[in-house]
Amino acid sequence: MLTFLHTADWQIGRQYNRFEAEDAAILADARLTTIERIAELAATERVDAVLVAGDVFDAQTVSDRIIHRTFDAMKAYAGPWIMLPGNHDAALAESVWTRAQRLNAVPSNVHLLLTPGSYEFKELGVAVLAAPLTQRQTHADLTVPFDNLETSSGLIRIGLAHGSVSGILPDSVDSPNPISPQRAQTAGLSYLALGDWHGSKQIDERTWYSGTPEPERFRNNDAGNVLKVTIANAQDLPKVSQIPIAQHYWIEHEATLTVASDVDELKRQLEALPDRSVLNIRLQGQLDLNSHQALQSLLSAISGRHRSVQVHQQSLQLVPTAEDLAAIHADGYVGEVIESLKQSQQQADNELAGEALMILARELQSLEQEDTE
Amino acid sequence: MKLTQLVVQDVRQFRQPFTLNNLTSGINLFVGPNESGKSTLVSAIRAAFFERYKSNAVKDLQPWGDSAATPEVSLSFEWQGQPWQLDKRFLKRQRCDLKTPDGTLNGDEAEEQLAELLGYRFSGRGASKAENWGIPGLLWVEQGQVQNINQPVDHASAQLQSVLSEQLGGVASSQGDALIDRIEAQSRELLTATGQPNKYLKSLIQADDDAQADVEAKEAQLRHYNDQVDELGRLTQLQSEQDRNQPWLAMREQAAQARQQLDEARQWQQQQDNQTQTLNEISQQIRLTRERLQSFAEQSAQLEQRALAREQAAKKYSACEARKPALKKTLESATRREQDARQQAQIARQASRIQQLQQEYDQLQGQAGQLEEKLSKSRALNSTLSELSQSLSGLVVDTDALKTLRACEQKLSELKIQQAALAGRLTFDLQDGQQIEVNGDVLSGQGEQALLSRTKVDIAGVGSMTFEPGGHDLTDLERQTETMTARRDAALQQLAVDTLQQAERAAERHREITQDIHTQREQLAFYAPKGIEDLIREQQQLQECLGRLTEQRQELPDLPDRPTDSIDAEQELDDAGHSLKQAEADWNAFQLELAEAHQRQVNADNEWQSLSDQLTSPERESLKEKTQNDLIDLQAREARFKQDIEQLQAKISAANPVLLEQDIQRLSQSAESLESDARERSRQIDRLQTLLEQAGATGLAESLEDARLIAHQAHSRRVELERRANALALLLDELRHARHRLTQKLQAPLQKHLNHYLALLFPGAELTVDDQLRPSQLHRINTGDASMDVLSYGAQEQMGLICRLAYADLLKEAGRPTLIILDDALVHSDRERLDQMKRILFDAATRHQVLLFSCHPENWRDLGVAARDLQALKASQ
Repeated sequence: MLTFLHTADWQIGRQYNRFEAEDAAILADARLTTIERIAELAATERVDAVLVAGDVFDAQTVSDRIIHRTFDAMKAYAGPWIMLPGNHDAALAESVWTRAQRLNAVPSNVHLLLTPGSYEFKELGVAVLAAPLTQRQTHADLTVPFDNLETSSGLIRIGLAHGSVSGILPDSVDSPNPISPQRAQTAGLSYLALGDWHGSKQIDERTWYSGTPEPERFRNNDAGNVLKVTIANAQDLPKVSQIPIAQHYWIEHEATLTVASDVDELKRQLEALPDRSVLNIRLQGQLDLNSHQALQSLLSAISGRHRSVQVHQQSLQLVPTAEDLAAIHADGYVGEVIESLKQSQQQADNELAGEALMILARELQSLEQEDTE
Repeated sequence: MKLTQLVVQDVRQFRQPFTLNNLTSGINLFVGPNESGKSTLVSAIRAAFFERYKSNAVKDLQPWGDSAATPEVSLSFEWQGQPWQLDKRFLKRQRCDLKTPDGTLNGDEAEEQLAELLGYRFSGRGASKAENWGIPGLLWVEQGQVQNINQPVDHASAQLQSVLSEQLGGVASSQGDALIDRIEAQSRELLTATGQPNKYLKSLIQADDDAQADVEAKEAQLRHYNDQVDELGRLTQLQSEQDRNQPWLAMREQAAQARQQLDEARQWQQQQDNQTQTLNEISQQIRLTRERLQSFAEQSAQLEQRALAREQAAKKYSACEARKPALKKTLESATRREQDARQQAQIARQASRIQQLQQEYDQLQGQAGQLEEKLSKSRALNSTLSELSQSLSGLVVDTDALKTLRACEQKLSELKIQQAALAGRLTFDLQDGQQIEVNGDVLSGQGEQALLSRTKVDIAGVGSMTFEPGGHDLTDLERQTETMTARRDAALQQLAVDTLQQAERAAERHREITQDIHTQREQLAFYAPKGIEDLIREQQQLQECLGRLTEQRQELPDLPDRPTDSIDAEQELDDAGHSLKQAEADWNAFQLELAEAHQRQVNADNEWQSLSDQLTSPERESLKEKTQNDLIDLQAREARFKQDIEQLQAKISAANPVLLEQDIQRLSQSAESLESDARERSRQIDRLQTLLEQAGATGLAESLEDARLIAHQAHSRRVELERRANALALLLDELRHARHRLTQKLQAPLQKHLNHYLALLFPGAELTVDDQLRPSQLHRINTGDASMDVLSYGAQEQMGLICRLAYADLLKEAGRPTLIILDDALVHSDRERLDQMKRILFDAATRHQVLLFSCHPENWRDLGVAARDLQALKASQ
């Protein structure tokens, strides 16, 4: 009976330049605190080991401090951490791993599988067959040697690799490092723990991608989990369960707004999202002045609930109605200009015209208010 | 609108009520001198409309010094056919009543109604100001203000635009200009007046560019780092794959083997060199031996040559010998010829002497005959000289002979000495009683005799011997002696002396006597030029001479009748002497040649003999044989060495030392290079590791991500603000264009009215108006464009009035009230222009009521209306 956590793609050291500096710092820090959460989970679940299938670090040249913090974040779990280099942290001649070793940052319970081969953990009854990346990219299947690697009898063979399973994943995977989908079978593995794909994904009965524990992009592919794997004995199929662990979910929301009630509907949808999420909202359609104002109020309000809210409303057009124009006294040639901008916005999907129209509407409103006062 | 009546009271000089009525709808011309009240009436009308009835700002309307007065103005007018009346009292008991067709309005209400109707505003506080005056401010022109048009138009702008806008169907915007101002203000936050990014936006753009550059620099650093990592990986791999086995050691081993082979090959080469040297020595010996054999052959040839030479020498000698008889004969004949010639010459000389004597004799004989004739005549004179002549006659001396004698004696003594020096000597010591004959002279006893010429010695009972003196000199000397002796003897004969001394003495004596005779003769010649004595003496002398000549002839032998000519004989003797000399020379030369030829023959013979002896010696034969045997031995040795050398060469070629040397070099260098590479790799690995450790600690990736974050934000900010700037620019552009289009629409009717009036003043001219509807450019056909402010004062005045009339037309068309009041207008216009302006005014007055006040009634007489004199009006009330 063997129980372990399977995780991967921590991408420690990733920065988020698309966000405001404050948000970016918090999101970067969240990646480290997620390690602490994994360590706590491992301790709570009393697992036998934690397997990390590559891309622990986002880059080779993270700072010394980040290296120290990473290993420090793992201290809550004193059992064995078995870590594999991925494409972002490949075991090159000089790598983040050699630096970590030089810095004496690697605790004794952390096992770095920097060279290919079989690593036997007899006290656990496990042989880990490792296929670390020793180049940034490779076009050969590094797990091929698994088929011929001998392990001591009685040990459960578990594969640990980083790459994309050929023919299964969508084309847009991170790395060209291919892995045969039959590897678990051909190599007689009880379980093949994979990294590289950032969502949790089952390839076959014995092969899984754990996905990243803390999402870092807007791709709704079930990221933010660790896998808890239980293997009764070598022949039995593993029991795999997904455990959500992320602090911030990355959600992309798109909406088309045309009438006032669409704004209300959007409000309901946004309020249903989990707190502290990272939102990317894309809006399109046409709104009159009042609805547009209502939308801006809504967006302003929800930004307080979430870690980050980014709104793309260049495709959303402001189309003042006759009532709007009358209300802001857009008569005479100003009326002509508004009409011209409206047409330009609608006909040519001219963002600039939309922007100009919004400025004009705002100024007319404030003129109107001053006059009223 | 038509003003029908004006009543003022307590207004400046009009203390009593003054009524101006019967105002017509066209031009109403009021004239009067200064201070007659024209301006007061205008002020009253303006105050009635512009000033609030409650205002205290109208105190200037009070009569001078009467602060208690209450100025009152009452105005009646028609508007749209309905009568209106305004009654206004200021300062005290203030009131304002407006009777309208719809009823009477009072106070503020009345004033607002009026302002609305005429298009002006009241000031907030205090006196009404120009900016409040609106349309009336434009149409009511105060004294000297006609040319000031821009400000009044600006102040009437809102009303004018509203009027025009209504007329054009509401194209103006109530918020437009204010909106443009606000958009411009916002635009200025980002853009310059010309639409370029301003300092702030530029700084954002720069910040974005800087941030991008920073990112690129950091990316480059990271790439460099990655490249170094790759290089380290490559080097490490090479080190583990190649350097561990130390491949240079194997190469060095190979090099050592090659060196061993090379050493062996070099030994062979050394051996070969030695053998080659020996071979060369043998070849040298062979050559020498061959040369020796060759020399044997050459000696035989030389013997033959010597035999030939000997033969030739012999031949030459015998040839020489053969010439001897001929030469000898020549010599003998030459000797004979010379002797003959000598004899002949002797005879010839005697013959010559005889002939000379005969001639002298004949001559003297002739002279004697002549003298005989003269003598008788000169005997007397000659007596003194006779003695002398007598003594002299015995002393006749031939000076030529004397000279010859002297020379001969001299030569003979010289020859004698030479002969004595050269002659061979015959010394004899004869036995007593014995004698020999030498040249016929009998000698006995002892003695010596010089052998000057061929000497024949006869020894009785023995025979004779002939001695030829050696050398031709002696013979020659003998001959010369003989010659000279003969000559001397002839001279002695001629001089009739025996010795030279006698001759010399005689000559001396002769000279002395002659001298005396000469002296005597000169004396005789002085006394008797043909002196007798002289003649006698001459005769005697002649006789003497003749006698002596006869003697001399007798001393000489008789000669054949025809003796040889002495000169020819001498010549022959000379020639014969030469021939003899030549013959003797030839002979002597021949003798020498012969002796030489003989010697050569002997020498050639000896040489031949010597070589012949040598060649036929037995030692030589054996030496020749030995030499030939040596040659055979040497050739055999040469062949052997050649073979050995070839064999060695084959071995050396097989070993190929050049290639071996190259191998050694190549292998050594490769080993060195490999080892050096390995060392260099090791150094590079150390260096790269150090570099990478240092670089890794700086957190390149994080630094890059930070830079990217900053760059992203800078870029977003820039894009956002640039978009806003572009939107503002677009908006501003749209608004300005829209407003411009509107203005153009508004300008059109105004332009029409302007051109209507302008055509009267400047045919074909055009006056443009700007966005604010102000006149801007006057375009005339001949003078071109001019802005208003550069026109002359008069022209500005005219333009000002024309514009006002055009605005009035515009307002009239829009159904607005128009009243034109002109106080002393056009005072600066010349006659011609004024005439045109009058036509214009008259035309305008067909549509508008015009109140025209002037202090120059003469200017307006032809205006078509009667002028009303204010003074007269005042007086009549």
